Amino acid sequence: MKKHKRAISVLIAICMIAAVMTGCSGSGTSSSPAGTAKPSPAAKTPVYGGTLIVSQSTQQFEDNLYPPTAANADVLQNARPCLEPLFKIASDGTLIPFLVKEYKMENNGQKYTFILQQGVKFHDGTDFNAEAVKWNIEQTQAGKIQTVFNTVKSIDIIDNYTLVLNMASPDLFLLQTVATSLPVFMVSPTAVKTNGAEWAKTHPVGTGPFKLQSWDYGVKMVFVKNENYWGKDENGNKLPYLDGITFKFIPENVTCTTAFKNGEIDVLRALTSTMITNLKSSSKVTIYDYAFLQLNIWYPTLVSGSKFQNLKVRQAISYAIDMPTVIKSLFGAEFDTTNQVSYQGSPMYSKDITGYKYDPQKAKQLLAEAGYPNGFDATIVAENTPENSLLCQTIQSYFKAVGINLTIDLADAARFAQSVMFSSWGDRLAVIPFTYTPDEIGAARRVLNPATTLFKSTVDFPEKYKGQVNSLFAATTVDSAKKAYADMNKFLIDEACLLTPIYVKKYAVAQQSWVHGFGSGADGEKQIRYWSPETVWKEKR
Amino acid sequence: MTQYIVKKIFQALLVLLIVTFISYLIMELIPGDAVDFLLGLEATPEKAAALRASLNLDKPFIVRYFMWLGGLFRGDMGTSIFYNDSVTNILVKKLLVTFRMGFAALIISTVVGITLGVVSAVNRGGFWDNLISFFANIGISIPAFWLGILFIILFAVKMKVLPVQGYTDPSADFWLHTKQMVMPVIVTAVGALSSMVRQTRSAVLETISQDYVRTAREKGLRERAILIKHVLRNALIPILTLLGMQIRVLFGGVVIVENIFAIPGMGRLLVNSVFNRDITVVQGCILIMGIVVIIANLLVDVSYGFVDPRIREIKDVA
Amino acid sequence: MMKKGSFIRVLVSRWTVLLSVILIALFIIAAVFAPLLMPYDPLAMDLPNRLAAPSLKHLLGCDLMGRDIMSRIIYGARTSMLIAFVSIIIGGIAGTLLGLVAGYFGGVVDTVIMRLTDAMMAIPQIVLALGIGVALGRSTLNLMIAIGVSSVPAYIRMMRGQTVSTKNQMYVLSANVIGCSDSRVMYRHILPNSISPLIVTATINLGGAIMAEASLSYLGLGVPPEIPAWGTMVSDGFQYIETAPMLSVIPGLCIMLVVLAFNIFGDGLRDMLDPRVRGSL
Repeated sequence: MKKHKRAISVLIAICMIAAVMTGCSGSGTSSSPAGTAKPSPAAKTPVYGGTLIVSQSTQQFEDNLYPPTAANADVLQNARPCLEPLFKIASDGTLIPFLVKEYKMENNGQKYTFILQQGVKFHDGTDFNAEAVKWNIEQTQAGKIQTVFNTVKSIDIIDNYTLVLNMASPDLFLLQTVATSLPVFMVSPTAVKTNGAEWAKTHPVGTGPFKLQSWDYGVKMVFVKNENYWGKDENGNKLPYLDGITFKFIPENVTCTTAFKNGEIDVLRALTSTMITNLKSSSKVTIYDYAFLQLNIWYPTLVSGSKFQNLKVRQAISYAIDMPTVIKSLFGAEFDTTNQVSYQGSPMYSKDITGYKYDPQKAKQLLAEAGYPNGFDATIVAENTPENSLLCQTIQSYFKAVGINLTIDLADAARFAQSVMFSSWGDRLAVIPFTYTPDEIGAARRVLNPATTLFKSTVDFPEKYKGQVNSLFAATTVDSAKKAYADMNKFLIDEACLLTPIYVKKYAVAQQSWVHGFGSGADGEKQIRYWSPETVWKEKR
Repeated sequence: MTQYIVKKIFQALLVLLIVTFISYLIMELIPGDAVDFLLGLEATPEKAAALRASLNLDKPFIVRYFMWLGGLFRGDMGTSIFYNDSVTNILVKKLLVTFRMGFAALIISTVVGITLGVVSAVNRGGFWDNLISFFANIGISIPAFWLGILFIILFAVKMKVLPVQGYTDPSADFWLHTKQMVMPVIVTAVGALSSMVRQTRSAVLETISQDYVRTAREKGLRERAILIKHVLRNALIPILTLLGMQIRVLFGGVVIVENIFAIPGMGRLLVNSVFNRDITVVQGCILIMGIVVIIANLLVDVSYGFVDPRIREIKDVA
Repeated sequence: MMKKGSFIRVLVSRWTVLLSVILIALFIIAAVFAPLLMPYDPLAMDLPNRLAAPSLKHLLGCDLMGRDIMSRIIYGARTSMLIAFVSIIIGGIAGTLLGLVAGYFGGVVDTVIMRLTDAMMAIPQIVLALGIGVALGRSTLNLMIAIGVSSVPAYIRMMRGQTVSTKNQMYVLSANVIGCSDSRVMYRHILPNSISPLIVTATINLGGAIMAEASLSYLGLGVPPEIPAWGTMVSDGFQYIETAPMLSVIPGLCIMLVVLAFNIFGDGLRDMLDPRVRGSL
């Protein structure tokens, strides 16, 4: 009896282990489902029909799709099939008029004239005209959540399709901000006035190529073709090509990736670096990306008694981490190095900034000069994500080599926001993202401005820096703005070392080989950040 | 008997009240609130204050608790800060999903569990007993998320017979729904099933060794009759006790499983809402879970009264 | 209580119990002597060796940061043991005291404690631990508190049952008559009688505590990231499941084996200490 039992349990154990082992040898290539005929060779002529399945591995929350009161701009991405912006922007920064057909800027951004597209109708049949645009702008101002139109003093309607924006102060970058600020989508005033703003949160009535048919919160959104869409492709054919779009929310990276490889998903958004490595290993997948944010370590220079008030300490830390190696081995190709508050390839990136190249000897020397020959204890606080966890452990390891004992404090999103935002984060290092929205300068005006920045209770901004910020605001041409920004950067990094850039993160999207037009707009540029649902089409499979 | 039931119901309501208070308290103690999460790092103190006022988050804790309680008596569970929908609407959808999965797991674990437990006890020391006990022990020791991961690798990635994740309404596509439910239900059921097997086995063994069973045997009754008439009936009490506790265990398992398999049920909703600081949703989930567990225990307590009249006299069954 | 000879006899006659004792011993040895046993520093990053497959140099391969998995598994035993034991102590002491008090004094005290216990038992243990864990923040101590507190109800119930059935025994009543103070009675008469079921409950809960730590790590609430812990290793390795499955499979296997060992041992212990079953061995 006992012999039986032993034999069986051993056999079972072997079977289990064998099953797991065989299950673990590499990943197969994706195969098309139902083994039908192979897809036709790369047809460049758009094909009508089909439903695009778009997925992302992040949780969907907050269902406010009403632009004027939406608290989270990223959520509005989900309304993009229904709602359209006034302008689009190409990946090199050039403005592309869209719902606005032509525009004029006068007096260095004191006055803007918009001439609108004609013949555009909202989903409820009402006209898209100057009155509608004026109403949308005023609602956004009244909502108090979005700041994009705060500098607009008054709006004049010239005729049905022309309006003038008078600014309170010259704003060179208004249009770029408008093009890249997701909340600036046009909704039908009639629909909102009739049904109320609450209703509008879940019913986006815009000018877009699709209408929202159904919405299962946190699970999926189903869009169907808008038969009366105003857009046409370059050959004059009616848009959109697709019959519909479905967004599926699957908050699990591995399940997402596997479903994508199995062909169940057409487009996968919000990829993490592991997912990218995983996907790149199988062919027939295109990955598009754009620089989205960068992560910086900020020093609490305003906290009295903090070791980080000493410039040498901050510089020592900057020399202590070998970011290029970390990025290459741990984070993958969708991350990039940077030595300033900007990303390589950006028009704002300045080659004059030296930065701090990895040099642990120099780091130790600086620490000794600062009075800490044996290092010291420190804490770093970051948001509790797997990436940050990895990053902090790496930093901890490098710090150990120069004598700094680092304790890691990973706070979940709400706790992190609270402890970093409205109060000083104390004598700790803080890992804080800097998002390039709408671009570095636009973001810097909010985040790096000593007067309004959230960091003002923890970071000490010297007078020289304040002068540079004023130069940036006073700049009257795009080039002088860039120069002022480069000066700011040089001070922040080389002179005062108020922060240490860690890496640039790119927002990546994976597209199946049979999908066209998602990663590139009709203008031929890579456009996944502000994608154009009307020009997307799928090959028949 | 009625007095017994009434007393039990009263106790249950009191417990429910305490549960909701504890959970509200815990959520209150967690640093940061929904506004912090919603606005992220682009917030300003003015935006935050405006949002808080509109969501009533600026009122003191006790006031908010009683506001919630008051709403409850009117049948209103409040509005979710995140989904901007009434909590009732959200919960109904999610609960249905969790219920389908949980109920299937409960049926499987109970029926299969009791059967295997009886077989094991009757076959004591024999081959089947050893086999079943071995697997039951493994079943209560295996971490659910690990098992889920293994299943995904084996059935979805390697063999491709089952979908990796997701949930479809059975009315939309019944076959797909069933395929998607196979792994989650099994993973959820494993732990409960295994503990049911063990509990049944020990309960039956204990009863079998009693004197009156020996007497029945000597009286000449057939083994099967003995089993059903005497043994099972008396072994029922510890089994029922376990059944009451299984609901709580199943809810716990569901939380993990829904996260792995991306099933939009109450478990996942609860975890996300805790991280999102969506207080009203958390309260709603806890309330529902509490009600289900308490009703289950109530039914168990009442059934004791039927199975064994002596118990009605004992103050509380531990 | 038990004769030494029969203890050994039971141990040997049930080979599963023997095996589990050996496993537990291995676990404890690994935990206690971790620094001596580990081939490498579990925190030492070796980036070029990321995700290396098992080899002679690294018996179980390397993890996502190039750290030796074998060393991390050994150190992980220490983390798991520490968390499990401290949680059990926290929960056990609190639960035992409350259960004792509730059972002994009865009345209002009993009702209050029991209703509170019922309330805690209406919520799944992991949800309770999650709430407490998020409230306190992510650290080792907070994790132990969270797991400990969420396991208290089981002890209260058990202890109260024991107390209620013991306190009406003759010798306890006589102690009261003689004039022993309440605390003396509880300490000297009731508590010793409950040691056996207490130990059994604790042993079996040890497995549960290890599982709770693993589950909470999976949800993102475990020990600080750099400390090797089996649960965190499983959840960290989930991303690499197709390329390097060892990262998740091995720690998960360890969890299962240790929990299994404690469960089987707990069963064996219960059988040994329960006079009725003992007779039939």
